[in-house]
Amino acid sequence: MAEKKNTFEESLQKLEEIVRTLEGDVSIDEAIKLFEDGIKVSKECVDELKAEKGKLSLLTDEINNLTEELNIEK
Amino acid sequence: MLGDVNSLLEKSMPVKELNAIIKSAFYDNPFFTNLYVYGEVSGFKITNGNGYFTLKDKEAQIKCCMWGASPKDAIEEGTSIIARGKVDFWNKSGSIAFIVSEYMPTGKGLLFLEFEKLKKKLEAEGLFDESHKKPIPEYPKNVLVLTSKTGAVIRDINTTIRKNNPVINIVVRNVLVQGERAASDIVTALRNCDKLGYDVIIIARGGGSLEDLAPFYDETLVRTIYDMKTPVISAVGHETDYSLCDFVADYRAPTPTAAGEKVGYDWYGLVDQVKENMQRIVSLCNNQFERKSSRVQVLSHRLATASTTFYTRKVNKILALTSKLKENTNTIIQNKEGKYRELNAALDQLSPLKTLGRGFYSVSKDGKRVTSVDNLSVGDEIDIRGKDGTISAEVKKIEKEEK
Repeated sequence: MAEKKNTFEESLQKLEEIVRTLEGDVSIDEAIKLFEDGIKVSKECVDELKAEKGKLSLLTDEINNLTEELNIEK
Repeated sequence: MLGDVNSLLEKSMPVKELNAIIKSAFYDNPFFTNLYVYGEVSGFKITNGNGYFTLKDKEAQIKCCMWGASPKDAIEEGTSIIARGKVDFWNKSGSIAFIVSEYMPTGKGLLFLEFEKLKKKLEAEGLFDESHKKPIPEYPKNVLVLTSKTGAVIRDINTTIRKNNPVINIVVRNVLVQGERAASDIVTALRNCDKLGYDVIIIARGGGSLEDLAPFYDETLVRTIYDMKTPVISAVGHETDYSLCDFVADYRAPTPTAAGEKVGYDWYGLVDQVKENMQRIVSLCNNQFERKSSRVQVLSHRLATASTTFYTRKVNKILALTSKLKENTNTIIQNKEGKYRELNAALDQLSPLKTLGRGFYSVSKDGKRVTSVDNLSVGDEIDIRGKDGTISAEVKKIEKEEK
């Protein structure tokens, strides 16, 4: 879990670096390469977020069901 | 038969001698001359200025005399006293009496004194030691209540536990809680139930007189409770009554209701806590996710913006260069144009038409201007061009001017 979080953190850092470089002055060839990389990293992050979202909603459903079960009248 | 009377008489003694020996047995033994005895007074009466009564307990009694008593010394029926005195034997009547020299009412019943004595003994043995007491489980599942099924006690315990807890399994085992057989009944129940896996056993009965509570002062019962593997709660009598069960039990509840409170943990509260924690987990996870998600969003947005601005920047640069180029070109063209006009004007000045304008004529042959007479011969057809027209002519004569 901790390892995965690091990967995500690393991806985000990478993305941040790419964006920062792009916001500076770069050649068009470099820029295109950076855009491609940026989009790839961004997609990785989004994919991970999607997977997490799925897991989270499953867990939330489960917890809500449990909570429902615990709603016992006195 | 004993045998011959004469020979028997020789080894026999008269009654008075026997009684004298008995009397001296008491008198010569210091043990009997200064004793403390406790018991209940019964049938006190005064005869000839002396007090007579019987001192007794459940199993025995002895006649007592108090020399020199007046009516104000009368002791009430049933009073428990501790009396100091000696044992005396009356030869004449052959009876034994305890001669009371002084006495003190105990204030409490005889039973109480016996209980106190037993308590001291058991305490000295370590039966009430805190170190031996087992903790009462905080969240018991199976609770056994030993009490009378018909009493209000079980109702109180049940109601108290159920107020906050619908899940504890409460098992009631009917036992006698009063009378001769109560103690052994409870002992049997305890021994039978110790291995049945109950988390805690409550021994309960309502308040009552000391006599009513006597079973809970029973030595065997106290020792049985001490030997139990299952934690035992004693809930006997009212708050102010302490039975020996209270002292030996792992927990002493002042009332049956208090025992119910001790085991009836707040299940609804726990459930609420669990629910709250689960919801906290959900919202913490969601917050964490939102944070991550918004970071990705921000960066992705920046990436997109960077791409747009990158092109805008490049395009702007091209536009700037183009406009500079255009500007430069214009300047060049303008410069050229200026020169052209200048030259044109100069040319204009030099144009023969201008000269013609001033009234001169230009001679040309075959479309070529004639600049020297050497280029002409007599008879040549020439064109003479002037300001307002052209004349075709023939050369008739040529005179060359010598310079």
